[in-house]
Amino acid sequence: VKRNGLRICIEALALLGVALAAGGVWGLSGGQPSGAVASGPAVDATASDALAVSAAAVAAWGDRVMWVDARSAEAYAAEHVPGALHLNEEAWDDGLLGLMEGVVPGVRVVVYCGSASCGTSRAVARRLRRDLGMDAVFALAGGWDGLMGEGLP
Amino acid sequence: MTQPLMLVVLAWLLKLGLAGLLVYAGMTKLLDPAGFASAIGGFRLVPDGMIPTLAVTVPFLEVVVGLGLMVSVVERGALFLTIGMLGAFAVALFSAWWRGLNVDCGCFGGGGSGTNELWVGVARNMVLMAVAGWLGYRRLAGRLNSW
Repeated sequence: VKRNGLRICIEALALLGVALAAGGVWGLSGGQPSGAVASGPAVDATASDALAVSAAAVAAWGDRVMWVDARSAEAYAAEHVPGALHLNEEAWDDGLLGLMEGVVPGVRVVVYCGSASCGTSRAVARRLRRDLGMDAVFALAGGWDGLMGEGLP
Repeated sequence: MTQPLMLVVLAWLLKLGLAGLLVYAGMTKLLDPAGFASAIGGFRLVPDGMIPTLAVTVPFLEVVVGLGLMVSVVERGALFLTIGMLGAFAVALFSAWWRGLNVDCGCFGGGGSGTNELWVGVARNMVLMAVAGWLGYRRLAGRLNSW
Protein backbone atom coordinates (compact mmCIF):
# COMPACT_ATOMS: atom_id res chain seq x y z
CA VAL A 1 0.00 0.00 0.00
CA LYS A 2 2.82 2.38 0.92
CA ARG A 3 4.61 1.75 -2.36
CA ASN A 4 1.39 2.33 -4.26
CA GLY A 5 0.86 5.65 -2.53
CA LEU A 6 4.36 6.83 -3.31
CA ARG A 7 4.03 5.64 -6.87
CA ILE A 8 0.73 7.47 -7.34
CA CYS A 9 2.23 10.68 -5.96
CA ILE A 10 5.21 10.48 -8.30
CA GLU A 11 3.02 9.81 -11.33
CA ALA A 12 0.64 12.59 -10.38
CA LEU A 13 3.50 15.05 -9.92
CA ALA A 14 4.98 14.03 -13.26
CA LEU A 15 1.65 14.69 -14.99
CA LEU A 16 1.29 18.02 -13.20
CA GLY A 17 4.77 18.95 -14.36
CA VAL A 18 3.96 18.09 -17.96
CA ALA A 19 0.74 20.11 -17.81
CA LEU A 20 2.52 23.14 -16.33
CA ALA A 21 5.31 22.89 -18.88
CA ALA A 22 2.84 22.60 -21.72
CA GLY A 23 0.93 25.58 -20.38
CA GLY A 24 4.13 27.59 -20.11
CA VAL A 25 5.25 26.75 -23.63
CA TRP A 26 1.78 27.50 -24.96
CA GLY A 27 1.73 30.86 -23.19
CA LEU A 28 5.24 31.84 -24.33
CA SER A 29 4.71 30.75 -27.92
CA GLY A 30 1.63 32.96 -28.11
CA GLY A 31 -0.62 29.98 -28.75
CA GLN A 32 -3.30 31.90 -26.94
CA PRO A 33 -4.09 35.58 -27.02
CA SER A 34 -1.94 36.05 -23.93
CA GLY A 35 -2.92 39.69 -23.75
CA ALA A 36 -6.51 38.69 -23.26
CA VAL A 37 -5.92 36.24 -20.45
CA ALA A 38 -2.56 37.03 -18.94
CA SER A 39 -3.34 40.71 -18.54
CA GLY A 40 -5.10 40.29 -15.23
CA PRO A 41 -8.45 39.55 -13.66
CA ALA A 42 -11.37 38.04 -15.52
CA VAL A 43 -12.90 41.47 -15.72
CA ASP A 44 -10.06 42.58 -17.95
CA ALA A 45 -10.31 39.42 -20.02
CA THR A 46 -13.93 40.35 -20.64
CA ALA A 47 -13.21 43.98 -21.37
CA SER A 48 -10.50 43.30 -23.93
CA ASP A 49 -12.88 41.15 -25.92
CA ALA A 50 -14.68 42.62 -28.92
CA LEU A 51 -17.83 41.19 -27.42
CA ALA A 52 -17.59 43.39 -24.35
CA VAL A 53 -18.47 47.04 -24.19
CA SER A 54 -18.14 49.59 -21.38
CA ALA A 55 -21.06 51.52 -19.89
CA ALA A 56 -19.46 54.75 -21.10
CA ALA A 57 -19.38 53.47 -24.68
CA VAL A 58 -23.02 52.45 -24.46
CA ALA A 59 -23.95 55.86 -23.10
CA ALA A 60 -22.33 57.42 -26.16
CA TRP A 61 -24.64 55.40 -28.41
CA GLY A 62 -27.56 57.37 -27.03
CA ASP A 63 -31.03 55.86 -27.31
CA ARG A 64 -30.28 53.53 -30.20
CA VAL A 65 -29.60 50.79 -27.71
CA MET A 66 -31.70 47.78 -26.82
CA TRP A 67 -30.99 46.47 -23.33
CA VAL A 68 -31.19 42.77 -22.55
CA ASP A 69 -31.29 41.63 -18.92
CA ALA A 70 -29.71 38.19 -18.60
CA ARG A 71 -30.05 37.91 -14.83
CA SER A 72 -32.58 35.73 -13.01
CA ALA A 73 -36.29 36.38 -13.45
CA GLU A 74 -36.46 37.49 -9.80
CA ALA A 75 -33.69 40.03 -10.17
CA TYR A 76 -35.34 41.34 -13.35
CA ALA A 77 -38.70 41.61 -11.66
CA ALA A 78 -37.17 43.53 -8.75
CA GLU A 79 -35.45 46.12 -10.90
CA HIS A 80 -33.99 46.47 -14.37
CA VAL A 81 -32.73 49.02 -16.85
CA PRO A 82 -35.79 50.91 -18.19
CA GLY A 83 -37.03 49.19 -21.33
CA ALA A 84 -34.79 46.18 -20.92
CA LEU A 85 -36.00 42.80 -22.11
CA HIS A 86 -35.53 39.72 -19.97
CA LEU A 87 -33.61 37.06 -21.85
CA ASN A 88 -31.38 34.29 -20.55
CA GLU A 89 -30.79 30.66 -21.32
CA GLU A 90 -33.71 29.57 -19.13
CA ALA A 91 -36.20 31.86 -20.82
CA TRP A 92 -34.71 31.87 -24.28
CA ASP A 93 -37.64 31.46 -26.65
CA ASP A 94 -39.98 34.03 -25.05
CA GLY A 95 -37.24 36.59 -24.74
CA LEU A 96 -36.02 36.03 -28.28
CA LEU A 97 -39.46 36.76 -29.76
CA GLY A 98 -39.62 40.07 -27.91
CA LEU A 99 -36.14 40.93 -29.00
CA MET A 100 -36.79 40.24 -32.68
CA GLU A 101 -39.79 42.58 -32.55
CA GLY A 102 -37.75 45.36 -31.06
CA VAL A 103 -34.60 45.13 -33.13
CA VAL A 104 -34.45 47.49 -36.07
CA PRO A 105 -31.42 48.33 -38.22
CA GLY A 106 -29.00 50.62 -36.46
CA VAL A 107 -29.96 49.49 -32.99
CA ARG A 108 -27.28 47.83 -30.89
CA VAL A 109 -28.16 45.14 -28.41
CA VAL A 110 -26.40 45.31 -25.03
CA VAL A 111 -26.64 42.33 -22.67
CA TYR A 112 -25.90 42.65 -18.96
CA CYS A 113 -25.82 40.21 -16.08
CA GLY A 114 -25.28 40.65 -12.34
CA SER A 115 -21.72 41.79 -11.91
CA ALA A 116 -18.30 42.09 -13.45
CA SER A 117 -17.57 38.43 -12.90
CA CYS A 118 -20.78 36.84 -14.17
CA GLY A 119 -20.43 35.03 -17.48
CA THR A 120 -24.07 34.94 -18.52
CA SER A 121 -24.02 38.19 -20.50
CA ARG A 122 -21.15 36.92 -22.63
CA ALA A 123 -22.85 33.60 -23.18
CA VAL A 124 -26.14 35.23 -24.17
CA ALA A 125 -24.45 37.82 -26.41
CA ARG A 126 -22.44 35.10 -28.14
CA ARG A 127 -25.53 33.00 -28.68
CA LEU A 128 -27.50 35.97 -30.02
CA ARG A 129 -24.74 36.72 -32.49
CA ARG A 130 -24.78 33.13 -33.62
CA ASP A 131 -28.53 32.51 -33.64
CA LEU A 132 -29.59 35.83 -35.11
CA GLY A 133 -26.54 36.39 -37.27
CA MET A 134 -26.32 39.88 -35.74
CA ASP A 135 -22.97 41.53 -35.13
CA ALA A 136 -24.27 44.45 -33.13
CA VAL A 137 -24.68 42.45 -29.91
CA PHE A 138 -22.46 43.25 -26.94
CA ALA A 139 -21.95 42.19 -23.34
CA LEU A 140 -21.77 45.00 -20.80
CA ALA A 141 -18.51 45.02 -18.84
CA GLY A 142 -19.18 45.44 -15.15
CA GLY A 143 -22.75 44.17 -15.35
CA TRP A 144 -25.62 45.39 -13.21
CA ASP A 145 -23.35 46.20 -10.25
CA GLY A 146 -21.29 48.41 -12.52
CA LEU A 147 -24.40 50.24 -13.74
CA MET A 148 -25.51 50.79 -10.15
CA GLY A 149 -22.17 52.38 -9.45
CA GLU A 150 -22.55 54.87 -12.29
CA GLY A 151 -26.28 55.46 -12.12
CA LEU A 152 -28.86 54.01 -14.50
CA PRO A 153 -28.66 54.95 -18.19
CA MET B 1 -6.60 -14.87 -12.02
CA THR B 2 -9.00 -14.87 -14.90
CA GLN B 3 -11.98 -12.60 -15.13
CA PRO B 4 -14.86 -12.27 -17.52
CA LEU B 5 -13.73 -10.80 -20.82
CA MET B 6 -16.71 -8.49 -20.69
CA LEU B 7 -15.38 -6.77 -17.56
CA VAL B 8 -12.00 -6.19 -19.18
CA VAL B 9 -13.62 -4.71 -22.27
CA LEU B 10 -15.99 -2.61 -20.17
CA ALA B 11 -13.12 -1.22 -18.10
CA TRP B 12 -11.15 -0.38 -21.21
CA LEU B 13 -14.11 1.32 -22.87
CA LEU B 14 -14.84 3.34 -19.72
CA LYS B 15 -11.23 4.41 -19.53
CA LEU B 16 -11.22 5.41 -23.17
CA GLY B 17 -14.43 7.38 -22.64
CA LEU B 18 -13.07 9.11 -19.55
CA ALA B 19 -9.86 10.00 -21.37
CA GLY B 20 -11.77 11.30 -24.40
CA LEU B 21 -14.06 13.40 -22.24
CA LEU B 22 -11.15 14.97 -20.36
CA VAL B 23 -9.24 15.77 -23.54
CA TYR B 24 -12.39 17.19 -25.15
CA ALA B 25 -13.20 19.32 -22.09
CA GLY B 26 -9.64 20.64 -22.00
CA MET B 27 -9.52 21.42 -25.71
CA THR B 28 -12.78 23.39 -25.72
CA LYS B 29 -11.39 25.55 -22.91
CA LEU B 30 -8.06 26.07 -24.67
CA LEU B 31 -9.91 27.33 -27.74
CA ASP B 32 -11.41 30.16 -25.66
CA PRO B 33 -9.18 30.94 -22.66
CA ALA B 34 -10.83 34.33 -22.13
CA GLY B 35 -14.25 32.69 -21.99
CA PHE B 36 -13.03 30.12 -19.49
CA ALA B 37 -11.36 32.86 -17.46
CA SER B 38 -14.65 34.71 -17.16
CA ALA B 39 -16.38 31.43 -16.25
CA ILE B 40 -13.87 30.89 -13.42
CA GLY B 41 -14.41 34.46 -12.28
CA GLY B 42 -18.14 33.79 -12.04
CA PHE B 43 -17.58 31.27 -9.27
CA ARG B 44 -15.86 33.91 -7.09
CA LEU B 45 -13.74 31.23 -5.45
CA VAL B 46 -10.24 32.28 -6.42
CA PRO B 47 -8.50 35.66 -6.25
CA ASP B 48 -8.64 37.58 -9.53
CA GLY B 49 -4.86 37.47 -9.86
CA MET B 50 -4.89 33.69 -10.11
CA ILE B 51 -7.57 33.45 -12.78
CA PRO B 52 -5.40 33.94 -15.90
CA THR B 53 -3.00 31.24 -14.73
CA LEU B 54 -5.79 28.84 -13.87
CA ALA B 55 -7.55 29.49 -17.17
CA VAL B 56 -4.59 28.02 -19.00
CA THR B 57 -3.30 25.47 -16.49
CA VAL B 58 -6.56 23.69 -15.77
CA PRO B 59 -7.35 22.89 -19.42
CA PHE B 60 -3.81 21.66 -20.00
CA LEU B 61 -4.01 19.49 -16.91
CA GLU B 62 -7.24 17.99 -18.24
CA VAL B 63 -5.67 17.18 -21.59
CA VAL B 64 -2.47 15.77 -20.06
CA VAL B 65 -4.35 13.69 -17.49
CA GLY B 66 -6.75 12.45 -20.16
CA LEU B 67 -3.84 11.27 -22.31
CA GLY B 68 -2.10 9.90 -19.20
CA LEU B 69 -5.04 7.60 -18.55
CA MET B 70 -4.13 5.72 -21.69
CA VAL B 71 -0.45 5.40 -20.76
CA SER B 72 0.10 2.47 -18.43
CA VAL B 73 3.17 3.93 -16.69
CA VAL B 74 1.30 6.93 -15.33
CA GLU B 75 -2.21 5.51 -15.29
CA ARG B 76 -2.56 5.38 -11.52
CA GLY B 77 -1.41 8.97 -11.09
CA ALA B 78 -3.76 10.05 -13.88
CA LEU B 79 -6.71 8.31 -12.23
CA PHE B 80 -5.82 9.96 -8.92
CA LEU B 81 -5.69 13.41 -10.54
CA THR B 82 -8.90 12.70 -12.45
CA ILE B 83 -10.75 12.02 -9.21
CA GLY B 84 -9.16 15.05 -7.59
CA MET B 85 -10.09 17.40 -10.44
CA LEU B 86 -13.63 16.10 -10.81
CA GLY B 87 -14.08 16.40 -7.04
CA ALA B 88 -12.80 19.97 -7.01
CA PHE B 89 -15.08 20.92 -9.93
CA ALA B 90 -18.07 19.30 -8.22
CA VAL B 91 -17.36 21.21 -5.01
CA ALA B 92 -17.06 24.46 -6.98
CA LEU B 93 -20.37 23.82 -8.78
CA PHE B 94 -22.11 22.87 -5.56
CA SER B 95 -20.81 25.93 -3.73
CA ALA B 96 -21.97 28.18 -6.59
CA TRP B 97 -25.45 26.70 -6.28
CA TRP B 98 -25.29 27.00 -2.49
CA ARG B 99 -24.45 30.69 -2.70
CA GLY B 100 -27.18 31.24 -5.26
CA LEU B 101 -24.75 32.35 -7.97
CA ASN B 102 -25.93 32.18 -11.55
CA VAL B 103 -22.72 31.00 -13.14
CA ASP B 104 -21.56 29.70 -16.45
CA CYS B 105 -20.43 26.14 -15.65
CA GLY B 106 -17.45 26.44 -17.97
CA CYS B 107 -17.30 22.66 -18.01
CA PHE B 108 -16.88 22.44 -21.76
CA GLY B 109 -15.68 25.91 -22.59
CA GLY B 110 -17.83 29.01 -22.34
CA GLY B 111 -21.29 29.35 -23.76
CA GLY B 112 -23.34 27.06 -21.55
CA SER B 113 -24.91 28.68 -18.55
CA GLY B 114 -27.68 28.62 -16.08
CA THR B 115 -28.15 27.31 -12.59
CA ASN B 116 -30.07 24.27 -13.81
CA GLU B 117 -26.94 22.98 -15.43
CA LEU B 118 -25.04 23.03 -12.15
CA TRP B 119 -26.76 19.95 -10.82
CA VAL B 120 -26.18 18.14 -14.07
CA GLY B 121 -22.50 18.97 -13.71
CA VAL B 122 -22.35 17.80 -10.09
CA ALA B 123 -24.15 14.54 -10.89
CA ARG B 124 -22.02 13.92 -13.95
CA ASN B 125 -18.83 14.44 -11.96
CA MET B 126 -20.03 12.04 -9.25
CA VAL B 127 -20.62 9.33 -11.85
CA LEU B 128 -17.26 9.97 -13.51
CA MET B 129 -15.50 9.89 -10.13
CA ALA B 130 -17.10 6.53 -9.39
CA VAL B 131 -15.90 5.24 -12.76
CA ALA B 132 -12.37 6.51 -12.13
CA GLY B 133 -12.45 5.03 -8.64
CA TRP B 134 -13.46 1.63 -9.98
CA LEU B 135 -10.72 1.74 -12.61
CA GLY B 136 -8.19 2.72 -9.95
CA TYR B 137 -9.32 -0.11 -7.69
CA ARG B 138 -8.90 -2.59 -10.53
CA ARG B 139 -5.49 -1.24 -11.36
CA LEU B 140 -4.29 -1.36 -7.75
CA ALA B 141 -5.69 -4.86 -7.33
CA GLY B 142 -3.48 -5.82 -10.25
CA ARG B 143 -6.30 -6.89 -12.50
CA LEU B 144 -5.36 -4.73 -15.41
CA ASN B 145 -2.41 -5.78 -17.52
CA SER B 146 -0.03 -4.42 -14.86
CA TRP B 147 3.64 -5.05 -15.35
